[in-house]
Amino acid sequence: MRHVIVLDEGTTSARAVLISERGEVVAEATRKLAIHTPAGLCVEQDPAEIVASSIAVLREVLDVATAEGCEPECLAITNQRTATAVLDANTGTPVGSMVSWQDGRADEFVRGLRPRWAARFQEVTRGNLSASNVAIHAAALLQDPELARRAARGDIVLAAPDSLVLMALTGRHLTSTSNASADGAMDFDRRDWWTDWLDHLGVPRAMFPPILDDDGDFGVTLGSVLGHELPVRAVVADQQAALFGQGGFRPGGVKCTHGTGTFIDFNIGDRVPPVLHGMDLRVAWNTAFSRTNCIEGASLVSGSAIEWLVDDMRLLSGPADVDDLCRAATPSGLVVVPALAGFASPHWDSASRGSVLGLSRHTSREQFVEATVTGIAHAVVDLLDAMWNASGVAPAVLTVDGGLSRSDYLQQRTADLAGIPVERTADAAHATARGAAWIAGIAAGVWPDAETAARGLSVERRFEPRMDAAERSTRRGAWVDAVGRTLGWRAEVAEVPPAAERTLG
Amino acid sequence: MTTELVLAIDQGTTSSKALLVDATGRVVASGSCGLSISSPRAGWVEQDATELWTSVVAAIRDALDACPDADIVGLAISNQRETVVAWDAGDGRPVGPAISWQDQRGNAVCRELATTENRELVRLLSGLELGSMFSASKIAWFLERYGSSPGLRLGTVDTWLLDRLTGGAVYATEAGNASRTLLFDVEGQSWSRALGELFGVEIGRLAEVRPSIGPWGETWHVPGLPDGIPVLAVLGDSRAALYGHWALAPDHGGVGKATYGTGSSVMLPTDRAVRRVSGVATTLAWQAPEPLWALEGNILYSGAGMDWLARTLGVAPGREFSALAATAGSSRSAVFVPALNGLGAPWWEAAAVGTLTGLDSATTRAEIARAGIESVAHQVCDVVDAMDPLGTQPALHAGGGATSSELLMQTQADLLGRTLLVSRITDVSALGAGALAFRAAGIDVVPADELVPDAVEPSGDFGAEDRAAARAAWREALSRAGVPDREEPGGGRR
Repeated sequence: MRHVIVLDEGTTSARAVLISERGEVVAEATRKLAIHTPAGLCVEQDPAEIVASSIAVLREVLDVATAEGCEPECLAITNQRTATAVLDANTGTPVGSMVSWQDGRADEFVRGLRPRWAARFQEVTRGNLSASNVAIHAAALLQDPELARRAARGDIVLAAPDSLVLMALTGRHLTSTSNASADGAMDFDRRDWWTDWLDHLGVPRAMFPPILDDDGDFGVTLGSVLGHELPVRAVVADQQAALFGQGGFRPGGVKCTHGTGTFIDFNIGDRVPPVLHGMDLRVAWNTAFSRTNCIEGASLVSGSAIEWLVDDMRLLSGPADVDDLCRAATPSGLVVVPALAGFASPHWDSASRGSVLGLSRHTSREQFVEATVTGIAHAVVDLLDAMWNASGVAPAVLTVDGGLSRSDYLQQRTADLAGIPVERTADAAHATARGAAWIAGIAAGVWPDAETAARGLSVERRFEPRMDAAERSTRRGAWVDAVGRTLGWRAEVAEVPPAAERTLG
Repeated sequence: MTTELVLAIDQGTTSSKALLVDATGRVVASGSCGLSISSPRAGWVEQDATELWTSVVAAIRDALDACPDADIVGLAISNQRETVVAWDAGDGRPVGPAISWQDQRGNAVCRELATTENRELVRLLSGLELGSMFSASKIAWFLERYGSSPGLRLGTVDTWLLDRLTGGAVYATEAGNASRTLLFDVEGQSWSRALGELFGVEIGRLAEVRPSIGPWGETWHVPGLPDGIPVLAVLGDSRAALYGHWALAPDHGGVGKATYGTGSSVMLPTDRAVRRVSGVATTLAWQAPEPLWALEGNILYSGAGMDWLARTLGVAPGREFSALAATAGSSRSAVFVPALNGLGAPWWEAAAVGTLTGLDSATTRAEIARAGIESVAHQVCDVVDAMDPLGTQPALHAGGGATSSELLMQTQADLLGRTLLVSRITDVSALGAGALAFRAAGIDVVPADELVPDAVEPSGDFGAEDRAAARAAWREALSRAGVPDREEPGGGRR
């Protein structure tokens, strides 16, 4: 029996998973990762903690593998994206904090950039300009004169999470196409860093790592670090890995991951659609066996909306109560637009915030919770509609994973409002790790192809749409009205140029 | 020497109270009796007319039991307004229920009548908007059913209580109460034949209109009360509150007031009978005996909005809710628009929806509670801004239950940019009616020191720019809630 070990470096945890050739999870270990919000819109993580936790979970699983006699033959890395750490170029040691993909410190700066750069950015990167951008993070970090000096001398380099853990495990400074395409600094068609953009932001091109195919030569883990010398056979960004791991490796495949936010990725083969309707185009994976793109849409707040209801509003005692409360809610016209962090695709409005519309004296806690969950479903449908518009292909079945995928109520609502079935795969919790393992394992010859790797995949539950067209149209209309009332808030804030923009010109 | 006392009756929606008050405004003894209210079908809200009266008798008995040797110079009445009672002149028995001010059975009639011309006529003559809360459609309902009975008497609650207190000898209504019926010519200060015709109400059947200051007649066979005590003053409850604020703060007579209850009522005295202010009513506050007109705006959800939020957030309404709000330094970007059943004055936007906006992941329940407190203050500001756009009134009296929230009072002063004179007493309406009764008896009211209101000044660190920013954010939220942007409030009337 052959085995692949996967490091899944996510936002909230680092996890190592040992997967057998039959697709079974043989061993796993997890460590939670802290998220720091030091001030304002800043969201940071500690790169040293990420490295230490990643190594710890890998060692733990490797120990089990050794004891059980199922040593993996290669390592796959999958990771959170678009976060930015600075590393000492010589030692690979992290310098300072890692700016999270959730960080909004550059929101105003980005609003200032938009008039001149948004269209060109879209043309070159095939993504949308937002503060979640490694080059913009870097520009913000280089406001620190000491860091700027070290950058100019070539003493420091940039590392998104994949590069961060790769550096620690192999000592090499590299990234993969699936990751780079989400960094907001890659010329999509050339698969190389976009130098005009980096020049404008004043970030040296030399700080960025070479971009390899997702099953490229990422080197071998250092024995001094892991106690094992394992070839790294795949580095795949988490959303794209989940698309693969959910069985979406053929054109038309679409997966929806409900984590902190919701990410939907739609496999469109090697096509490059001319108009993206507010969606982002990503490299799904560039490998020896497949060059695949995907349309991606993100709704920034979903799981975190439920956390907000639990922790801040205390409307329910825990996420497990969501479905019970939703079912207990009597029908109402309440609409919750859970844009607690503003809107990403397709609206791209970082200044707006969440809203609750249609409160009446009869509105209950149950209705509040139900409308929040329904709002998450509506946001999913908005993304599916935009993907359909961009690709000309209607998604046929939506495959879900992530924490909130456990909510039957959310899946039924999504099926109802989207008018397509929703499927929850068995063991959806390992979709990301599975996808990365399959890509690495195909490269290493563990599996001949994706179909063989995925033959054990099964659907745990399928949710058929049950809502009639008239009701769907009424509810969608109310949602669109509510989103319209929520967009465009605090526009005056956007007019204030931030300090960074003045410096960067 | 015995102290001369007035027995002030406060007949409200949820209870009847009786207070023995002295000429310093102190309450010597009091009694109260709760009231039932029923809704026999959607939109109908009724009370039992007999119970309205017997609850008053019970409250009087409680007050007098506590102070049996009281030297009562006279009675004062403060009463819920717009509610209509009908009874038989012969035996004084009620005919049908008391139709509450909250009752909407007249909606159909009002809708039918609501042509542009009629609405303009009603506005011009009565100072009010054509609507079913006011008494006219309720009176018409009684007349349609019982009008053929020659002994039928009907009127607002003041009329009913006067009939009972005087053993049927007095069939009269107080001018301020009459000005809330839609049948009263607010400028001419008499029943309007034209408005009577509009609603099919024969004006001749209505009670005689009298000034707010008596004497009105004397007690006759009221259980527990000696005969021959004069009724000296009658005022509708919110006007009684205004009179009470003025009596207890003689330096600040002449400025308006806000009452913070379930909803909020804002009254500002005005120099002319009909000043056209969009979205607010013009009424006769009182004749004492000289007339005082006032602008009045009613906000539908203030205390009730906060209580709804408290329930939703799972904290006890009132003190605990306010304490939660106070733990947040500000509401940051969160705004609560409590249009839980449309919006009242000055917007009158039935289509407006309740909203919570500006929510982010860091928004706490304390910030939302604080947004709830601010929503009450902003709504009062909206009405005051509409009534007094030039800011001629430097201060505003504040009364009602929610004034116990220091946070609300400070927020109100900050957002108004004016001094808030916060009443220290709960029964300001009863005291107001009592003060007018003392005046009728020729006794000067000199308020006791501890009854003089607290002056809450706008915070020094909340400047004009902060005020403008907070008000702009509120207006933005109102527009998201469905209040059309417009220069002046009141474009979409009820």
